[in-house]
Amino acid sequence: MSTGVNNRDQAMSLIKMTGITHAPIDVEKVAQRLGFTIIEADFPDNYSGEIFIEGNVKSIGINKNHNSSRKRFSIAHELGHYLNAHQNFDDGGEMLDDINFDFTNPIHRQEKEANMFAAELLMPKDFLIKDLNEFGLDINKLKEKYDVSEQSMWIRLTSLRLAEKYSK
Amino acid sequence: MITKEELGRKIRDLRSRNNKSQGELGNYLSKSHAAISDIERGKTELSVSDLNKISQFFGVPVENLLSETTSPYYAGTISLHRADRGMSDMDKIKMQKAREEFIKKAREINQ
Repeated sequence: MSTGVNNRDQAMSLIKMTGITHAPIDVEKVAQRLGFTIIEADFPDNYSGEIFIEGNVKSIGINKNHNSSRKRFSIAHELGHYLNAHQNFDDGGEMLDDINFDFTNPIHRQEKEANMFAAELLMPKDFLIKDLNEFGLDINKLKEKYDVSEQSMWIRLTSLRLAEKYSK
Repeated sequence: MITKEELGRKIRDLRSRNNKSQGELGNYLSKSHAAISDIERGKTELSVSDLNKISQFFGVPVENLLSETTSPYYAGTISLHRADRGMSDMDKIKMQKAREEFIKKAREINQ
Protein backbone atom coordinates (compact mmCIF):
# COMPACT_ATOMS: atom_id res chain seq x y z
CA MET A 1 0.00 0.00 0.00
CA SER A 2 1.45 3.33 -0.95
CA THR A 3 1.41 6.11 1.53
CA GLY A 4 1.38 9.85 1.30
CA VAL A 5 5.10 9.85 1.88
CA ASN A 6 5.77 7.59 -1.10
CA ASN A 7 3.58 9.76 -3.24
CA ARG A 8 5.43 12.78 -1.92
CA ASP A 9 8.89 11.37 -2.67
CA GLN A 10 7.78 10.30 -6.09
CA ALA A 11 6.24 13.68 -6.89
CA MET A 12 9.28 15.57 -5.67
CA SER A 13 11.73 13.49 -7.66
CA LEU A 14 9.59 13.95 -10.77
CA ILE A 15 9.55 17.70 -10.23
CA LYS A 16 13.33 17.74 -9.87
CA MET A 17 13.83 15.39 -12.79
CA THR A 18 11.76 17.66 -15.01
CA GLY A 19 13.67 20.73 -13.86
CA ILE A 20 10.64 22.49 -12.41
CA THR A 21 11.54 25.09 -9.82
CA HIS A 22 8.35 27.04 -9.22
CA ALA A 23 4.55 26.95 -9.32
CA PRO A 24 2.44 26.44 -11.32
CA ILE A 25 3.86 22.96 -11.79
CA ASP A 26 4.12 22.22 -15.51
CA VAL A 27 2.15 18.99 -15.26
CA GLU A 28 2.13 18.40 -19.01
CA LYS A 29 5.90 18.52 -19.01
CA VAL A 30 5.96 15.96 -16.20
CA ALA A 31 3.59 13.74 -18.17
CA GLN A 32 5.75 14.07 -21.27
CA ARG A 33 8.86 13.24 -19.26
CA LEU A 34 7.10 9.97 -18.38
CA GLY A 35 6.38 9.35 -22.04
CA PHE A 36 2.73 10.41 -22.19
CA THR A 37 1.01 12.44 -24.83
CA ILE A 38 -1.91 14.54 -23.68
CA ILE A 39 -5.00 14.43 -25.84
CA GLU A 40 -7.96 16.75 -25.42
CA ALA A 41 -11.22 14.85 -25.81
CA ASP A 42 -14.83 15.91 -25.99
CA PHE A 43 -15.91 14.00 -22.89
CA PRO A 44 -19.20 14.79 -21.15
CA ASP A 45 -18.82 17.25 -18.30
CA ASN A 46 -18.65 14.74 -15.46
CA TYR A 47 -15.96 12.64 -17.12
CA SER A 48 -12.60 14.18 -16.38
CA GLY A 49 -10.05 11.98 -18.00
CA GLU A 50 -8.55 8.61 -18.59
CA ILE A 51 -5.23 6.98 -19.18
CA PHE A 52 -4.58 4.62 -22.06
CA ILE A 53 -1.53 2.41 -22.29
CA GLU A 54 -0.94 -0.17 -24.96
CA GLY A 55 2.55 -1.31 -25.84
CA ASN A 56 4.46 1.89 -26.63
CA VAL A 57 1.29 3.94 -26.70
CA LYS A 58 0.95 6.08 -23.60
CA SER A 59 -1.71 8.74 -23.56
CA ILE A 60 -3.83 10.69 -21.15
CA GLY A 61 -7.15 11.97 -22.41
CA ILE A 62 -8.55 15.03 -20.69
CA ASN A 63 -11.86 16.81 -20.98
CA LYS A 64 -11.28 19.68 -23.39
CA ASN A 65 -14.26 21.58 -21.99
CA HIS A 66 -12.82 21.83 -18.49
CA ASN A 67 -10.92 24.83 -17.22
CA SER A 68 -7.17 24.83 -16.80
CA SER A 69 -7.09 23.84 -13.13
CA ARG A 70 -9.41 20.87 -13.66
CA LYS A 71 -7.41 19.69 -16.66
CA ARG A 72 -4.23 19.94 -14.68
CA PHE A 73 -5.74 18.01 -11.81
CA SER A 74 -6.96 15.30 -14.19
CA ILE A 75 -3.50 14.84 -15.71
CA ALA A 76 -1.91 14.67 -12.26
CA HIS A 77 -4.60 12.24 -11.05
CA GLU A 78 -4.06 9.92 -14.01
CA LEU A 79 -0.30 10.01 -13.47
CA GLY A 80 -1.06 8.99 -9.90
CA HIS A 81 -2.81 5.88 -11.20
CA TYR A 82 0.12 5.11 -13.45
CA LEU A 83 2.82 5.59 -10.83
CA ASN A 84 0.90 3.61 -8.23
CA ALA A 85 0.57 0.83 -10.82
CA HIS A 86 -3.21 0.80 -10.61
CA GLN A 87 -4.92 -1.61 -12.89
CA ASN A 88 -7.86 -1.97 -15.11
CA PHE A 89 -10.64 -0.34 -13.25
CA ASP A 90 -12.79 0.87 -16.01
CA ASP A 91 -15.99 2.87 -15.61
CA GLY A 92 -16.38 2.75 -11.87
CA GLY A 93 -19.78 4.23 -12.30
CA GLU A 94 -19.66 5.76 -8.89
CA MET A 95 -19.16 9.15 -7.47
CA LEU A 96 -16.60 9.13 -4.74
CA ASP A 97 -16.86 11.25 -1.71
CA ASP A 98 -15.80 10.81 1.86
CA ILE A 99 -19.22 9.65 2.99
CA ASN A 100 -19.30 6.48 0.94
CA PHE A 101 -15.57 5.91 0.88
CA ASP A 102 -14.83 2.26 1.52
CA PHE A 103 -11.20 1.38 2.07
CA THR A 104 -11.81 -2.29 1.37
CA ASN A 105 -12.95 -1.38 -2.12
CA PRO A 106 -9.86 -1.33 -4.37
CA ILE A 107 -11.47 1.17 -6.73
CA HIS A 108 -12.03 3.65 -3.95
CA ARG A 109 -8.55 3.11 -2.62
CA GLN A 110 -7.04 3.71 -6.02
CA GLU A 111 -8.99 6.90 -6.57
CA LYS A 112 -7.90 8.24 -3.22
CA GLU A 113 -4.26 7.36 -3.89
CA ALA A 114 -4.41 9.04 -7.27
CA ASN A 115 -5.84 12.18 -5.69
CA MET A 116 -3.15 12.15 -3.04
CA PHE A 117 -0.48 11.95 -5.69
CA ALA A 118 -2.11 14.78 -7.65
CA ALA A 119 -2.02 17.00 -4.57
CA GLU A 120 1.64 16.19 -3.96
CA LEU A 121 2.53 16.96 -7.55
CA LEU A 122 0.50 20.13 -8.04
CA MET A 123 1.06 21.60 -4.59
CA PRO A 124 4.44 20.42 -3.28
CA LYS A 125 4.79 20.97 0.44
CA ASP A 126 8.17 22.72 0.22
CA PHE A 127 6.89 25.14 -2.42
CA LEU A 128 3.82 25.93 -0.34
CA ILE A 129 5.77 26.63 2.82
CA LYS A 130 8.07 28.98 0.94
CA ASP A 131 5.10 30.89 -0.48
CA LEU A 132 3.24 30.94 2.83
CA ASN A 133 6.31 32.43 4.48
CA GLU A 134 6.51 35.00 1.74
CA PHE A 135 2.93 36.19 1.46
CA GLY A 136 0.94 34.39 4.14
CA LEU A 137 -2.36 32.51 3.89
CA ASP A 138 -3.76 34.30 0.85
CA ILE A 139 -5.96 31.63 -0.71
CA ASN A 140 -6.70 33.57 -3.88
CA LYS A 141 -3.08 34.26 -4.55
CA LEU A 142 -2.15 30.65 -3.81
CA LYS A 143 -4.80 29.07 -6.02
CA GLU A 144 -3.81 31.37 -8.89
CA LYS A 145 -0.13 30.78 -8.48
CA TYR A 146 -0.53 26.99 -8.39
CA ASP A 147 -3.36 26.97 -10.94
CA VAL A 148 -5.55 24.68 -8.83
CA SER A 149 -9.12 25.00 -7.60
CA GLU A 150 -9.76 26.78 -4.34
CA GLN A 151 -11.16 23.55 -2.94
CA SER A 152 -8.00 21.56 -3.77
CA MET A 153 -5.87 24.25 -2.20
CA TRP A 154 -7.90 24.25 1.01
CA ILE A 155 -7.83 20.47 1.27
CA ARG A 156 -4.10 20.52 0.75
CA LEU A 157 -3.44 23.27 3.29
CA THR A 158 -5.61 21.66 5.94
CA SER A 159 -4.25 18.15 5.43
CA LEU A 160 -0.70 19.46 5.78
CA ARG A 161 -1.85 21.43 8.83
CA LEU A 162 -0.55 24.57 7.19
CA ALA A 163 -3.90 26.38 7.24
CA GLU A 164 -4.01 26.45 11.02
CA LYS A 165 -0.33 27.25 11.30
CA TYR A 166 -0.46 30.25 9.00
CA SER A 167 -3.86 31.65 9.88
CA LYS A 168 -3.68 34.69 12.07
CA MET B 1 0.90 -15.41 -30.95
CA ILE B 2 0.61 -15.81 -27.22
CA THR B 3 0.82 -19.32 -25.78
CA LYS B 4 -1.80 -20.91 -23.52
CA GLU B 5 0.63 -20.70 -20.62
CA GLU B 6 1.28 -16.99 -21.18
CA LEU B 7 -2.42 -16.29 -21.49
CA GLY B 8 -3.05 -18.24 -18.29
CA ARG B 9 -0.42 -16.22 -16.43
CA LYS B 10 -1.90 -13.02 -17.73
CA ILE B 11 -5.36 -14.00 -16.53
CA ARG B 12 -4.04 -15.00 -13.12
CA ASP B 13 -2.15 -11.72 -12.87
CA LEU B 14 -5.20 -9.68 -13.87
CA ARG B 15 -7.34 -11.59 -11.42
CA SER B 16 -5.02 -11.02 -8.49
CA ARG B 17 -4.53 -7.36 -9.34
CA ASN B 18 -8.29 -6.98 -9.34
CA ASN B 19 -8.60 -8.86 -6.06
CA LYS B 20 -10.86 -11.51 -7.53
CA SER B 21 -10.90 -15.17 -6.54
CA GLN B 22 -10.89 -18.09 -8.96
CA GLY B 23 -14.42 -18.77 -7.72
CA GLU B 24 -15.60 -15.29 -8.67
CA LEU B 25 -14.15 -15.49 -12.16
CA GLY B 26 -15.53 -19.05 -12.37
CA ASN B 27 -19.04 -17.86 -11.51
CA TYR B 28 -18.88 -15.30 -14.27
CA LEU B 29 -17.80 -17.93 -16.79
CA SER B 30 -20.08 -20.66 -15.35
CA LYS B 31 -17.03 -22.76 -14.55
CA SER B 32 -15.64 -24.29 -11.35
CA HIS B 33 -12.66 -22.75 -9.63
CA ALA B 34 -10.72 -25.87 -10.56
CA ALA B 35 -11.46 -25.14 -14.22
CA ILE B 36 -10.15 -21.59 -13.72
CA SER B 37 -7.04 -23.03 -12.12
CA ASP B 38 -6.51 -25.18 -15.22
CA ILE B 39 -6.92 -22.16 -17.46
CA GLU B 40 -4.40 -20.19 -15.42
CA ARG B 41 -1.89 -23.03 -15.62
CA GLY B 42 -2.30 -23.18 -19.39
CA LYS B 43 -3.94 -26.61 -19.36
CA THR B 44 -7.09 -25.54 -21.20
CA GLU B 45 -7.73 -24.03 -24.59
CA LEU B 46 -10.10 -21.10 -24.20
CA SER B 47 -13.14 -20.67 -26.42
CA VAL B 48 -13.82 -17.35 -28.11
CA SER B 49 -16.87 -16.83 -25.92
CA ASP B 50 -14.85 -17.45 -22.74
CA LEU B 51 -12.21 -14.99 -23.93
CA ASN B 52 -14.92 -12.43 -24.52
CA LYS B 53 -16.34 -12.95 -21.07
CA ILE B 54 -12.91 -12.69 -19.46
CA SER B 55 -12.27 -9.45 -21.30
CA GLN B 56 -15.62 -8.11 -20.04
CA PHE B 57 -14.93 -9.27 -16.51
CA PHE B 58 -11.68 -7.31 -16.30
CA GLY B 59 -12.62 -4.47 -18.63
CA VAL B 60 -9.69 -5.27 -20.91
CA PRO B 61 -10.04 -5.60 -24.69
CA VAL B 62 -9.67 -9.15 -26.03
CA GLU B 63 -6.78 -8.11 -28.26
CA ASN B 64 -4.85 -7.06 -25.18
CA LEU B 65 -5.39 -10.43 -23.57
CA LEU B 66 -3.94 -12.01 -26.67
CA SER B 67 -1.10 -9.56 -27.33
CA GLU B 68 2.40 -10.53 -26.32
CA THR B 69 3.05 -7.34 -24.41
CA THR B 70 5.06 -7.77 -21.27
CA SER B 71 4.00 -4.41 -19.95
CA PRO B 72 2.40 -4.55 -16.52
CA TYR B 73 -0.44 -2.65 -18.12
CA TYR B 74 -2.40 -4.88 -20.41
CA ALA B 75 -3.64 -1.76 -22.06
CA GLY B 76 -6.46 -1.50 -19.65
CA THR B 77 -7.82 1.95 -19.38
CA ILE B 78 -8.12 3.63 -16.07
CA SER B 79 -10.65 6.32 -15.65
CA LEU B 80 -11.38 8.97 -13.19
CA HIS B 81 -14.36 7.48 -11.48
CA ARG B 82 -16.34 10.64 -11.36
CA ALA B 83 -18.30 9.56 -14.31
CA ASP B 84 -21.65 8.01 -14.90
CA ARG B 85 -23.72 8.93 -11.89
CA GLY B 86 -26.79 10.61 -13.20
CA MET B 87 -25.43 10.49 -16.69
CA SER B 88 -28.14 10.66 -19.31
CA ASP B 89 -28.25 8.19 -22.19
CA MET B 90 -27.12 11.00 -24.47
CA ASP B 91 -24.12 11.60 -22.23
CA LYS B 92 -23.29 7.91 -22.19
CA ILE B 93 -23.33 7.79 -25.97
CA LYS B 94 -21.26 10.95 -26.12
CA MET B 95 -18.80 9.50 -23.65
CA GLN B 96 -18.43 6.24 -25.54
CA LYS B 97 -17.82 8.13 -28.75
CA ALA B 98 -15.32 10.49 -27.16
CA ARG B 99 -13.46 7.58 -25.58
CA GLU B 100 -13.25 5.73 -28.87
CA GLU B 101 -11.94 8.84 -30.60
CA PHE B 102 -9.42 9.40 -27.84
CA ILE B 103 -8.07 5.86 -28.08
CA LYS B 104 -7.93 6.06 -31.86
CA LYS B 105 -5.99 9.33 -31.67
CA ALA B 106 -3.65 7.92 -29.01
CA ARG B 107 -2.81 4.98 -31.25
CA GLU B 108 -2.23 7.22 -34.27
CA ILE B 109 0.00 9.71 -32.46
CA ASN B 110 2.17 7.03 -30.95
CA GLN B 111 2.62 4.99 -34.11
